Amino acid sequence: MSSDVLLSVKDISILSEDRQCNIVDTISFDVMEGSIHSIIGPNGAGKSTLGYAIMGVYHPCSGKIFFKGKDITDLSITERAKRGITLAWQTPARFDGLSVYDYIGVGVKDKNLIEQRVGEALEIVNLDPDIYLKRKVDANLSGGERKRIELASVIAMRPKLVILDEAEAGMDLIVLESFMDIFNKIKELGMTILLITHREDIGMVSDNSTLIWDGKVLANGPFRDIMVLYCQKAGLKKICSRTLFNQFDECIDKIIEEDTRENKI
Amino acid sequence: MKENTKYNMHRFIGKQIIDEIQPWFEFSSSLPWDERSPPWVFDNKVRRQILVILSESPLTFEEIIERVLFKPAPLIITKEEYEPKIIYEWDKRTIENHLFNLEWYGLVKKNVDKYEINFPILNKEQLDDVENYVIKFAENWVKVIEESKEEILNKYQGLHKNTPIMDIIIEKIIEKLWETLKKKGLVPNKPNLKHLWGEQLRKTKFNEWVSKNFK
Amino acid sequence: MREKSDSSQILNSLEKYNLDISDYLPSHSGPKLVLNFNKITTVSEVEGIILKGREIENGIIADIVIKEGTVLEDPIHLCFGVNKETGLQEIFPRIIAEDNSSVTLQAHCSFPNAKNLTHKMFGHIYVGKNCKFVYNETHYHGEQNGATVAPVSYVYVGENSYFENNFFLTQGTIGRMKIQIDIYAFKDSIINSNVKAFGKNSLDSIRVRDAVFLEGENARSIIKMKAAAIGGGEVMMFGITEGNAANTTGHVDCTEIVKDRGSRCRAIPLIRATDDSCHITHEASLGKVDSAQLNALMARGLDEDEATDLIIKNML
Repeated sequence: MSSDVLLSVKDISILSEDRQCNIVDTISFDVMEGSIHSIIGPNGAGKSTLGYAIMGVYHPCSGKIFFKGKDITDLSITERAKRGITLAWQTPARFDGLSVYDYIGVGVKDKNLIEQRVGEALEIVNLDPDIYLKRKVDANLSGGERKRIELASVIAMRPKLVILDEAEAGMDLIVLESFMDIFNKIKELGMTILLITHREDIGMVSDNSTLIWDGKVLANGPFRDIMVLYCQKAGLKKICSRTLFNQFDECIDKIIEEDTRENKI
Repeated sequence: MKENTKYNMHRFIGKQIIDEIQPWFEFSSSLPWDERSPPWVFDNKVRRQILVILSESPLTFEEIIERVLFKPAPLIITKEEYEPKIIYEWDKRTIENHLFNLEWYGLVKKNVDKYEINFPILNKEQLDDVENYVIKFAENWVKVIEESKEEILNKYQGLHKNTPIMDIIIEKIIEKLWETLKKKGLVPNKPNLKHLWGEQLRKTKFNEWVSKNFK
Repeated sequence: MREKSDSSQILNSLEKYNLDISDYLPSHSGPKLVLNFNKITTVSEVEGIILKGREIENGIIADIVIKEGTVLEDPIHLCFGVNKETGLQEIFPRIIAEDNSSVTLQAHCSFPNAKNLTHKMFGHIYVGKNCKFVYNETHYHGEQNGATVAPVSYVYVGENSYFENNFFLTQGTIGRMKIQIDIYAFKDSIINSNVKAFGKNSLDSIRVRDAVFLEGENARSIIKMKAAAIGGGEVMMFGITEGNAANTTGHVDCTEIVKDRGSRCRAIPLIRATDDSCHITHEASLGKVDSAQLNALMARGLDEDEATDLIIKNML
């Protein structure tokens, strides 16, 4: 992780559709280049709205967004994508007739590299290219498959900043661990991740976090510190600590070991 | 399924003869939007075929089923070269559904145990004979139109040059013809909607009451 | 195998559209009928089918009979083309697939030089019992919006048979096109009808009527109509399903995309039932491309036009 700020969000506010209230209210935070930065908060806190605003889907009513030091607040989705920002959608769209190969390759700038990048990306998300390349990005894909393909399309593009909007939504516990490996691989490829999640176990991969509550920032800082605050705010009876997270990891390991023994995996 | 409720009586049948534009008026066709004639009934070839075979003579249900089946044949391959063996038959329930539909729209009716056409059918000979009268009427119209045409075109010259003024006039002639024939009792007495539509009647009654009490 | 020689200029025009014409050449052993205007240039039968055509003033009458029990691995290729710029072509095909047969019919209609050309087709397809019949029709109308094309087909699908209809009109310009296909489905049969069309400019007008009448118990159907009207083009899709027998199910799906000022589209799914045990559904959507799809592609660097073109191209 470098010490350069890649993305800087300054006092962003976004109004609801009926303009009655702020979904996101004067939010500020910075994302360091090469890091995984998570946006944590409960359902309805405004996390996804914030992510879409950074991508350009929503326009903030006030505030600024800077990317690599340049003001991108008024740029379109396409312009932001060309500068190196992309988003993996929480509910990825399905396309009639569009092949997995074409969808994953659509963001690759150098057309000579499409085949190589698409193959690599599918392998990173643990999908067999021989099976999936010819399939269509339509209703015949399961939710999990569609999510992985969405991640693959982001990986193949090699942007500077990847916004992952609840990439883990709908995944079971066993699959989650492989997702966290994928996040780390994305980071290894030189991309910065803005991870939007309401799950503390997913947020564990992040270097820094921003805690959002009712559209406002409660805190910015290292993930562990943010988690303590989150649990306190959420009124959890357990105390979130390093001990608890270690216990969580041990529990997962135990399940995997048992299932391997019983040939379930 | 046939409808035999009181609302059946208020179904609009026949030419519209009310002055005021009704709420169901459809501007694209200047007709009520609900079905005045059953176009979709004729959309299905099987129903058309049932009407064709009934036009020859009334038939029982079983006879209709037998007559409706058909065997396709090629256009130019002769029977000696090859004769296909496909037969298409309809089951009783399906034919029953078709007949219900035709009965509901008044195209077919059941007389004891036989179904018959419920609208006049002209055979080729009669159709040719009717054509003589049609020609006679048309020729007389043409004579009148020829005499007045110049006067009409001069009078309406100011209209856009593409306005089909003669089309409009001919359409209105037909409307007027019906109206006049009806007044003279020369056509069957179709129910007048003014007396059937409660809404219209209520409005008339209300206006009368208002006039009586408040003016 | 009976065969007339001569390759046709029509085949060359198909090549221009990157279509593999090897199946149409006289040297190919598969069954085919190739027509240039009203001249039959190639007829090739195989065991189990009878292909007979008669030239008429402006086209042909053709009989195609697939005998009982015939299972054809190779599709039967029909190439109805006109190389001229103007004129009228009329085709009257009658196709009979007897019981227990399986066949794919691949029809190409090519009018590469059409400036003021009319093509009319009035055809019947009769499918027997326990058959599998796939009918693929693709059209190429050149680049000058000069074709007026009006095919009408009546199809009867016998008991326990599967009928699939794929109509694609996605290359070149369309001109004026009015398609009608009425399918009568008997007991336990399955109908799968797909129409894809693309109006490219203000001289293109496409009107499609795809109707399925479910006339036998347990008959099932799905009609999918997809179209795009761009550059001022007009598209109208009329999808009808009528259930007249017990326990029939049907679905009509019309999807149309409109792009550019002046483009017009209409989707009219019509469902009707005269039996109380039918289950018939419809869905229709038209207008601009789904914003979720657009945003997904724009977030990968495509601009709106590129994203729309990609979506339409793959949809069709």
